[in-house]
Amino acid sequence: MSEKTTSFRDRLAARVGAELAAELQPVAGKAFEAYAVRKEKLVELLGAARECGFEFLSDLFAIDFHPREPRFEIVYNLTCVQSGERVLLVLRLADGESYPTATGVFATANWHEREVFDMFGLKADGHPDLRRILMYDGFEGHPLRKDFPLGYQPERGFFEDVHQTPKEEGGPPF
Amino acid sequence: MPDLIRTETMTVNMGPQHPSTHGVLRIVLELDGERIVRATPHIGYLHTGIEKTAENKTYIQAMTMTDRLDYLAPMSNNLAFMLSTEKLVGVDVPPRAQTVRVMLTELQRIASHLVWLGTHAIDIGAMSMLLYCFREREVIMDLFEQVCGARLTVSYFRIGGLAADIPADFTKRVKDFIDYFKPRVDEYETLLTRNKIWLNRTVGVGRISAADAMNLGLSGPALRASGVGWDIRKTNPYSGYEQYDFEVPVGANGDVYDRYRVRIAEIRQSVRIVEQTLAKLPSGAYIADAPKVVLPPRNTLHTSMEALIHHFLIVCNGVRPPAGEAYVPVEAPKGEIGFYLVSDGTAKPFRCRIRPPSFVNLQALSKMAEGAMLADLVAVIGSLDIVLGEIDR
Repeated sequence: MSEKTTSFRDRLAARVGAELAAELQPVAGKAFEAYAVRKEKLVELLGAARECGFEFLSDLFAIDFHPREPRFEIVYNLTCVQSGERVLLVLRLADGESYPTATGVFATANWHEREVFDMFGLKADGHPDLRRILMYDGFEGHPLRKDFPLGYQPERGFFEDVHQTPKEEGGPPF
Repeated sequence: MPDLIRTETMTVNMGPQHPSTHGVLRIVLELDGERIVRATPHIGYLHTGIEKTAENKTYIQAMTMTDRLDYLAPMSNNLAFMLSTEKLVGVDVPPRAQTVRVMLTELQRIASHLVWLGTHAIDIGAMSMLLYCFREREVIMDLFEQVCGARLTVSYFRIGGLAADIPADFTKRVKDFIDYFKPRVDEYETLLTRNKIWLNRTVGVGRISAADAMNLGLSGPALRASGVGWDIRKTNPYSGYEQYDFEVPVGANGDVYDRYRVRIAEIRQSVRIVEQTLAKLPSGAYIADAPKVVLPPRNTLHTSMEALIHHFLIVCNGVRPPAGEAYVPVEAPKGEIGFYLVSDGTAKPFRCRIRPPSFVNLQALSKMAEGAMLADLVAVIGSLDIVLGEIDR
């Protein structure tokens, strides 16, 4: 494990310029070095992080801090596979707000963003295939939100729902 | 002539009840004859809401659910969850417990790879492998049963150490197993590695480049087979992995055959690590001495009033780590597993995000299967070594 000498922000500034690096606002109390970012600059920053050696998007997930505002955090766990260093990019979102997709930079974000949509109801703009991934299509609600009670089951039945779900355009015929 | 004959692709549903999908995976295939044009995996049939349930359990209770994620490698899951929890709580693990943890997780890696090898080989048609692999795996299951009373749902690690010390003759039994097992790996290789049928079914199949593998987030043996030598045990050593001498096997072509070679080589490296843990196993405490957050050793409950009180409070009220966040990645047999825990100072995790290696690895299936023959899809699924319990959580 190499000793960390310079912060991610300094490295980013040296590599792609101080203007973009100024977008990174340090966040304390996270598991690793973490920066809050604006969603307008997110995709650009992810691309810049990749140029700085953080070529592996290990994880992308949401946290619901209800009732704190802004309520949601989306965390991008970026890894440098040569040194094992990690940096977190944090996106803060209000309920119902959408965020830009990262699939253009990291293809692995595809299923993670579907899961964030499925579990929290946050939509990724520009996602190629934003469907539920773990819950069934007719399910109502987003289970990992803090206002979704444990063990709660929406009233409509599973089979009823599945048959009422309209077939997607160009999808399989069943 | 081409204008007169109309051809179109055919959509075929594979799974969720299909023996080679290793669980309840459904893949919608678009076929052009026998060639795959597009493969779309559909998951979620085994979803049990472990992340949500964990938010309503204490840390020790939540750990028992991690057994049910990747049920072929519960020790690795337990370890990942405990390391994150210990980082939140801020407790050090005694050397004996660390060494036993390494020994058991490496035995677990061997067991997991044996199940993979047996089922992967039977998928492609090498029927006898399953019997040999399960014969050896059974011994490892017996070892786990001896150490904690369970074969699959082990839940053996605790905050600060282990649930109990290993039995007196355990190291001897592990040593006997390792001595017995070493020549067995050579036997597997004589059956498969240069077998012409095996080569025809695996070489050049399901190929993925290093760049694509990184982009798709592959980790573990599936990534290393593509030529990226990333192993968390080397880059971010945990539980004292920096003390052990082992190599990280790396492939070159990223096909099914290379993934097979990498895993076989990993079995040999795991054997080496287990041998080293046996040689250096220190004596001493098996669980840390921190009565406010660590369960007292079981035998002290009969003689010490304080131990009884602490045990009662920890079990009933749970451990309350200070508010904070922690994530410790672990190199599980399938890849990087880790638990991103958010604590708000109460006894239950505020958020327990599981980074599931199989979930991320499965996403690469569409890319690997593109343009392959239908029969090769079975080989590709097998080579990814997925466990649906972990994908669906």
